[in-house]
Amino acid sequence: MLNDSLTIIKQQTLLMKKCLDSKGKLMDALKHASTFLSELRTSALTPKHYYELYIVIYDALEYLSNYLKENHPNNHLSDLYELVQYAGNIVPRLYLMITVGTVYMSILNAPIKEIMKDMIEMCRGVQHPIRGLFLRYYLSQKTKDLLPDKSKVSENTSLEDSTEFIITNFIEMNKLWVRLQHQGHSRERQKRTKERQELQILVGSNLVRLSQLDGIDKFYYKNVILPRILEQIIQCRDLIAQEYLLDVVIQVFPDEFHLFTLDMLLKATLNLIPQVSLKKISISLMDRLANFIHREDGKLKNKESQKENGNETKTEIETKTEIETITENQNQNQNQKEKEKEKEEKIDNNQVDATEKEKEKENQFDLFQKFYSYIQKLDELRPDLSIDDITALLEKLCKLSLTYYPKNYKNIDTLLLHTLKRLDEFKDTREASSPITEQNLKNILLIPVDFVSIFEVHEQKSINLDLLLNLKNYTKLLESQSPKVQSFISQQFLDKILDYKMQLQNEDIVNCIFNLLSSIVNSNLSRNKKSKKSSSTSNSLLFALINQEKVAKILHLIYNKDPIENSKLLLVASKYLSKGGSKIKYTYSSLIFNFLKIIRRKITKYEKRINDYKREIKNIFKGLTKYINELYSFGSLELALKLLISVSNISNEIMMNEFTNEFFIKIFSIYEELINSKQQYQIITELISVLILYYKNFYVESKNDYDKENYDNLITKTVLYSVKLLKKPDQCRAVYFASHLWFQPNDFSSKSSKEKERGKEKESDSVNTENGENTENGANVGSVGSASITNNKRVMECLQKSLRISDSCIESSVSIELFIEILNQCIYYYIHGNLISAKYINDLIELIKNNLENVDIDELPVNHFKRTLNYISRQKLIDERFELIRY
Amino acid sequence: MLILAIGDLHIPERAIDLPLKFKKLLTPGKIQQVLCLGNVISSITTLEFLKKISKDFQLVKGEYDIDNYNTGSSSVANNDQLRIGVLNGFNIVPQNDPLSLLIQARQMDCDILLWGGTHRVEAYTLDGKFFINPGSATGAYLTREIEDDDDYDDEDEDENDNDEDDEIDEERYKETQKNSKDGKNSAISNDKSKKDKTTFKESDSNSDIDSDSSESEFEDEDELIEPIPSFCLLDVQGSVCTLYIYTYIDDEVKVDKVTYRKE
Repeated sequence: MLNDSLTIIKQQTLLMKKCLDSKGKLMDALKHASTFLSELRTSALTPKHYYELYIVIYDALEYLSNYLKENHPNNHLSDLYELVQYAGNIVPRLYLMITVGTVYMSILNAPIKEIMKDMIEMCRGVQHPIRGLFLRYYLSQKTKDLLPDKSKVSENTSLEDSTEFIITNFIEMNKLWVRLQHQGHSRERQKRTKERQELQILVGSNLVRLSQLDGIDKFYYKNVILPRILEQIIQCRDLIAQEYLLDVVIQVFPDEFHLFTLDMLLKATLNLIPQVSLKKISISLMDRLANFIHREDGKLKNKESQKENGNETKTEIETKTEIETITENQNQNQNQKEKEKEKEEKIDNNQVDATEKEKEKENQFDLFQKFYSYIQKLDELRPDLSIDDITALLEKLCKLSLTYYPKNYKNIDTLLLHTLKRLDEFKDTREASSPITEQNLKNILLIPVDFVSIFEVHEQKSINLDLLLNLKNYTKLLESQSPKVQSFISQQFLDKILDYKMQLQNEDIVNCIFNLLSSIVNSNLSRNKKSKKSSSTSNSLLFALINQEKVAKILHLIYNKDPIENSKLLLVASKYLSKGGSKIKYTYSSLIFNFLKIIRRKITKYEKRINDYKREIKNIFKGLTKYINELYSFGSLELALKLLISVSNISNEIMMNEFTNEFFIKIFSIYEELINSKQQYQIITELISVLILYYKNFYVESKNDYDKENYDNLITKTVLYSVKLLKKPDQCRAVYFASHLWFQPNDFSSKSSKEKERGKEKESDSVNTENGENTENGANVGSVGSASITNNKRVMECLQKSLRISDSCIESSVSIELFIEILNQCIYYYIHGNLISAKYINDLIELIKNNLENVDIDELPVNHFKRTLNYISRQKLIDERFELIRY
Repeated sequence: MLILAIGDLHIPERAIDLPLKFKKLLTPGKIQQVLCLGNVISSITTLEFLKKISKDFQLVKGEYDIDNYNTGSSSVANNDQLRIGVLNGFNIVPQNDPLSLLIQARQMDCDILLWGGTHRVEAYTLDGKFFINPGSATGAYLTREIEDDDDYDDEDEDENDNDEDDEIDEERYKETQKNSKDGKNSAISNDKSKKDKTTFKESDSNSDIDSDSSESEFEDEDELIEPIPSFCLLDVQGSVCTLYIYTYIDDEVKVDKVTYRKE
């Protein structure tokens, strides 16, 4: 079919061209044209194929109209226009008429208005949908550049004529297009719908043409054009037409027009047939308007940058302002700082501009209010609207409002409330929990997360906390969501806060953030039980742990430069954390360390006024004890112990010895509940290490006898625990470690501890004498010295005790290894002074040797012994006292 | 062979994360062995991060690695002719005491001893053994009193016989970076660290101008001495260990080099 037609058209086109090329055969040429045009009379072709014919014929007719244009003085066009109307069939007749008519229009002084009117009237003669659509499309295409508008107005024509012409054409085409749906067999409905969609662009082209007319302002658009278009769209009551054409209207006309006619447009959408997706239409409108402001911003920025470029190249524009800026520029070159200030000012200006623009828009009308009342109307008039659609609309409106009124948080809050209400109405329906609704709600809830502050001068990004704090309904909406959605949102907040490293600086913010995180922070035993029953995969457990880790990290971001304020903020946070039940074991350490940081900050800042702050510090310590007790009650014994040790380190650092003592008593009481012997051993070694450090504050710095007494009690108790350890080697090691409790090599009167540590090897002689002096001094000068003397005794006691313990080990290789370790301890003391005699060491070496001879033993202790002896021989080279040691 | 010594991260209870610039340096494929000195297991993500750096990942228990008694409190890694002992430091009494550390090194029969717990990077030789404390990779808060850090900067000069000129330092650093297939990055960071050394004060004052008032106040407030984030890379060749000390100061990574030769 198609190919037959195409061959005929090609043949006839050739013939037509031949006739046109030879003189006086115009009539024949037109006949040929009429013949190939007859092919367009078919109704057997699909729109696609018909379009192919149309294209070929369009080209052929183009040849004809060019010929006519070139030769018009010879052939009077008005006569010709009459003449072609005698063609036999209506379709060829009208195509020819339009061809001649449009050429006629292009000529000077042609009766354009009459020709337009005549053509548009005559086109009514074709009522077959496809044929009619293409014929009118031809009319539209051919008249494209000929219609009078602002740039092409002649005496008796006006812009109105053109708009009238196009609108009429549009209305007629739409009617044909809609009628196509209702023709033919009803079971071919699907097929027809598809055909119509293929043809939609023909109808829409009229609207494009209309938008391209020069000289249409928004008033004319509002009063004349839009009402007629909307009337047609509403009246046709056709699904495809309404959806498609409204979209075209939104896309082709300028944004300003839409802003100006928003009421009309929105009202029109309410009169559409119910099947039309209002969501689609209003969202495309909102998107368009939201993008509009971005485009405007872009333009503004371009202008700015152009200006700046102008400044830099210093083009000689002699306006006052330009000169001023140039002089300013010179100043800038002199001083970089000023330049930076300038930039800041510019930024400020930008801000002012932006806010002014905002105001301007607000003065014009409240875009938000219009859309919002529209949505309210929708709720009223269209109860059939699904919650999917409603939530999608609300989400878009939120975003639109934020682009137009970034500071108007009330709008968003209103929308959130609205969402809440609507959700409530759909409660328990299947729709309310559909994936689409869920996604929409997620998007709404993520708005404060994604809405990064625009006016941030520095590059540091931040969640818009202002927005968040002003949304009273946000938490309500969040809480109304499924646990899954809630934790998803909390998760997003967590990640963003950490990404941006946002400091949480005041109480409102801390409250707000922790409210949002409640789904992660709070304990949710009920759900845990459920998941355990079903399939508590290790993956989800891991996920939960990582979340807790993030919460712990966020605590570090709570910061206020005032330590007291900061501790208040932490206190606020702790209230939320305490709701976490057993989860506190993941978060409390971070909390406690942050409190400890504050204490140290106070000290460094107000060192001289430490007494003024003691009360507050005491309060903090009390708080910390409470947290640790909570951890303890959840069974985290080891963690509680570690934290207590850390806390007591700090209280020791600031010389609050009574607290240190208290903490240690607490430590002992928890320690007694430990079951794992490895745990016990580790804790004991740590306690010994820490107590060695406390010596200075309890013994040297303190003038209080209670402190000394307390300290003695603490270390005695620690040794007692050491002896009670389960395993012999642990006992032995703990006891020889404990010997260091009575040995303080550091000379606290001169701060040269460092020197000693460093020089021990090379200058062991001088260390030796120094220490010797120490003990002598101590002996002479009161308490410190007397302590030292008892020290020596106690050190010996400990070493003896550990020897006895190792001797009692049943495995001889273990006991020998321990002997060697004790030997090493003895060497340590020997280097530090005369606390241990050379004889003692010699005896010990003898003892080890004997044991090694008697028994068949692993290589390990043997080698360790060898290394120790080698060390002694190396020491002999630098310390003559070692000559006394023989082996 | 490149060995990473890293520890005392204390994430999340004392620090949020490793400095980003450290993370960028510690990418998988460059380093053959990771020796982790503990205080790390409370952060699953960080532990995963460290494990990805090298398949040969060895961990010892830190004092804050709660309820984890499957991990030993010390370990020895044999590399070429050098034995490297690793421990967290809480099991040394008195803590951080060089002679006690020496006793421990003797007991473990190692040539190099890595220890931690002080959150302060340092390295020295004693009795022919090399002692390395890689510090805290996050610069985590420390509850024990921080020693006066007056002599912190010249510490390396003090304690190491094998101190070399900075320039050689830089070159070596470049080399290792190249070895690790990261030529471009290294050139940049190299330049930066050079600048850092020569024009340190200038850049410092500039940054002050850039930062707004609130930030500078912040800095004022935080005068409290926080440990400096640091870690160490050990390049072990035969009986020689070249130690690269990475510190993170004022948003810049500084690298220092020390060489140890086993006698």
